[in-house]
Amino acid sequence: MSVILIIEDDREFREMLKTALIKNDYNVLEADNGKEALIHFKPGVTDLVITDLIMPEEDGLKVLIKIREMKNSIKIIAISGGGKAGPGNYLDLAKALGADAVFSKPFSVNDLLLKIEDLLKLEHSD
Amino acid sequence: MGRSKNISDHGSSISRPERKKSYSGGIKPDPFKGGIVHDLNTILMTISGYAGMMAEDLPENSPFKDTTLRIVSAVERARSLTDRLLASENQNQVDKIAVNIIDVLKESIDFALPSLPPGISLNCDIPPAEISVYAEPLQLLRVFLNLVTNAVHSMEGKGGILSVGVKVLDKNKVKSIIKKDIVSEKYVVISFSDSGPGIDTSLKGKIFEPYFTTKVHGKGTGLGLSVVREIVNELNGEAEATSGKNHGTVFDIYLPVYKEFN
Repeated sequence: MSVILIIEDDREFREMLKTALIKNDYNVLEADNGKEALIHFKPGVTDLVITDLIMPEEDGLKVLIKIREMKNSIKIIAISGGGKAGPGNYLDLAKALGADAVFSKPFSVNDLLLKIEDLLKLEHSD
Repeated sequence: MGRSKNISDHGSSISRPERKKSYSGGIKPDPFKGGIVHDLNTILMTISGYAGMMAEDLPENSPFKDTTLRIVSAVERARSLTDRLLASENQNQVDKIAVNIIDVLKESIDFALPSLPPGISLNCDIPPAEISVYAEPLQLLRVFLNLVTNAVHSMEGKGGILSVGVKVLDKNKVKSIIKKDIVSEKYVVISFSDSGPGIDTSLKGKIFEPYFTTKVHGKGTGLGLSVVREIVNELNGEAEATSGKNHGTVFDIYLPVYKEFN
């Protein structure tokens, strides 16, 4: 059973994603900010990471880079609320920095689940 | 069915208390439209996610099936509104006002001062004047903090002096320095100098390019200075760097003066 780490500071949103993933037979690890995720990230256990980009403590782009450094083969999905916190589009940056997929909220949970399935198939065939 | 646990729990099933958000290090959500759109989209996503799951779980003949699908549809309509809000934000970019650059600069320094590493001293030459530029204060704060951070990183471990200075130049003087349309009679120049190792002259042209960094792998994304130039250009100004190997680096920010009082 694949293990997915959700890094998201909005508790309600995180709970919703967790519920959807558990319903689809994934095991879920969760962190409410990037700093906490990096401290406790276990490369050997986690198959895929879903990270928000605009978070307190440590922003999602830094988290993305650091997790990729810890486990190069890991699949990473970046999500963002679409609002801008400055110049540049963070989802574009996330893709340029190595996110395997990006989603702008609000997106279809089914689309996310299909993408997760695709990415995990790829990971296991790597 | 899968299961879940908080990544920082070590076998405990006790929920962790909600922590107060401090926004001390990460990207700060914009207090204006962008930030509101971000939070609103997150809430909409939560509503539509749960409603979608409910619709899937309900039997076809359930009277609530239609109700939950109506929730999903209402969220779609709300989403089109947030898209429109964001589109208007992109047109205006930021809410600019006449702002005293001296105040913002002092605020940036106060913000950065407590985190200066030992061995790095600060030398400020900021006149007690009011020099207004037309800008969004948070964007200016971001420019200054990026430049302070950049200077500190260049001297990390070795120590040195970070100098911050302000001067006002006439447009004719500025014309010979920046390759940009001159839009004001006077320009304010905010300079950040470090006594770090400097940047090789062959790399000078790349300093403001996105993802260019001289920092060791994992120490920087190379985005800070490209963001600085992007913001400054948006304000009809220019960012210039002067450096030489072992001669430190000076970053000069040129901004058109809106109003000046001595």
